[in-house]
Amino acid sequence: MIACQHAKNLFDRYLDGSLSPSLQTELHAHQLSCQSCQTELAILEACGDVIAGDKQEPVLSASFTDRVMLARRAQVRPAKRRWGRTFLVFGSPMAAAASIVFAIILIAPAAKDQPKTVVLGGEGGKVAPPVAVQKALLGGKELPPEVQADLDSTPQMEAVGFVEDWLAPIVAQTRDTFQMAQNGVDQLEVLVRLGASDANSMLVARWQSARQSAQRDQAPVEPTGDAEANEIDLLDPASPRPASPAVEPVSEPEPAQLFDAL
Amino acid sequence: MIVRQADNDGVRLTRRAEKRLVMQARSGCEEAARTLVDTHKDRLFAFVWRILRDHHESEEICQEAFLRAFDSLDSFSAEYRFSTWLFTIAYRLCLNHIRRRKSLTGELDFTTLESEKEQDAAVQLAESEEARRLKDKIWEAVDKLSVPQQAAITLFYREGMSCEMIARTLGIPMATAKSHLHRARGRLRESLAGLVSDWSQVHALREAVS
Repeated sequence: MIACQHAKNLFDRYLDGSLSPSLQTELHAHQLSCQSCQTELAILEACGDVIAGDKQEPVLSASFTDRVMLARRAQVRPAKRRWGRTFLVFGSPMAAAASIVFAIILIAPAAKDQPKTVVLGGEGGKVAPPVAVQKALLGGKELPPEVQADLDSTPQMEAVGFVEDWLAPIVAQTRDTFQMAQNGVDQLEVLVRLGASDANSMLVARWQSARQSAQRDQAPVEPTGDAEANEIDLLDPASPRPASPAVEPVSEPEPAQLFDAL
Repeated sequence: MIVRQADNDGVRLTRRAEKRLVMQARSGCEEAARTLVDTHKDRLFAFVWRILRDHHESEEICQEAFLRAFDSLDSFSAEYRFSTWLFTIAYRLCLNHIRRRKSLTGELDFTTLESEKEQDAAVQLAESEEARRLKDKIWEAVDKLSVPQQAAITLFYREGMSCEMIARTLGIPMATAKSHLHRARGRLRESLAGLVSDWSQVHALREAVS
């Protein structure tokens, strides 16, 4: 039989669940005869029970999960936006710089072979771009004759490979992009107008029905002139409501005018 | 009988389900993240509240712990349980918070501790007076433990963690975790010695709790 002090030293290992089966048997045997050890171990076990099962803690707010999810979204979004902004801030100039470098790399060997172009038009004179670039810039539109004549009389910049083959298509493409963007804006405007006119017709219909019902309500009341009949019980939902003063005045602009400004 | 019981009123995820949810949350699935919060929040809050004893501060710490856990999901290793990881983050946040609180007030503030105890009056009425008295004494003794001792004993009994898991969660060597747990028991034993004169009182208490 183990001694009392030895038994007490085994308590922790027993409660941790790391006591060997043989020592467990020894401990149980000692407990049967030792009231003090029995009570002490029971108190420790009761402590464990209380800590494990006595939920004294207050309850977490019901909105806790929602708050965490909202905070998480707020945390995630700026990160995404930052990337977008970083791309816009650094991406576009970098792309532009890269395309310039690319163009230079492409031109540089060809430029060596080309004879150097002398600027025409003398000192301070005008120089018109080559015909291909002019066409691209104008988008195939005819110029007024006097402008065309002026352009014809102006000495033209010599059309080296770069201007004809590279610059003209880029100008044409840029013009097309702008045109497409313009078309997009136009279409958006049409959509907004359509939406506005739909909303407008709904408003008109409501306004008219409100006016008609107001007139209907008033029609039988007027001939009687009975003051009591005009009384309206505000608490009774069946009772006729007075027409809204906003609808009554004739001077009120018709809703149809509201969106005419568009 | 070995007194180790895990929390049995909250939903506990299986390891596999937890792993799947973590993977989904990592790839941005909000529903998975929400489930992870819902299945861990009460246990985490109980753990944090035991240490801080302030409702508002405990909620703040829990929220921060969840956000940090989600923020670093990429570095989460599948060999750990999500709960272990979450408790680790929360424990560190608690220690930092206590340090800050101490530097502000110079000492631990026990006023909140007293005020929040009064909220349980209704619960207390339902229990036998004697059992309640013993429970209060036990909690009083737990409150007097150091923070690591409290954390170790709560994780052991409430969370059903092994000493190894406790060591991992608290970021300390296993021998230290064991020593915290054993010292905590020793101090509880000292505080409660002489309190129970009758063996039947302990039985009544244990039945009341279970």
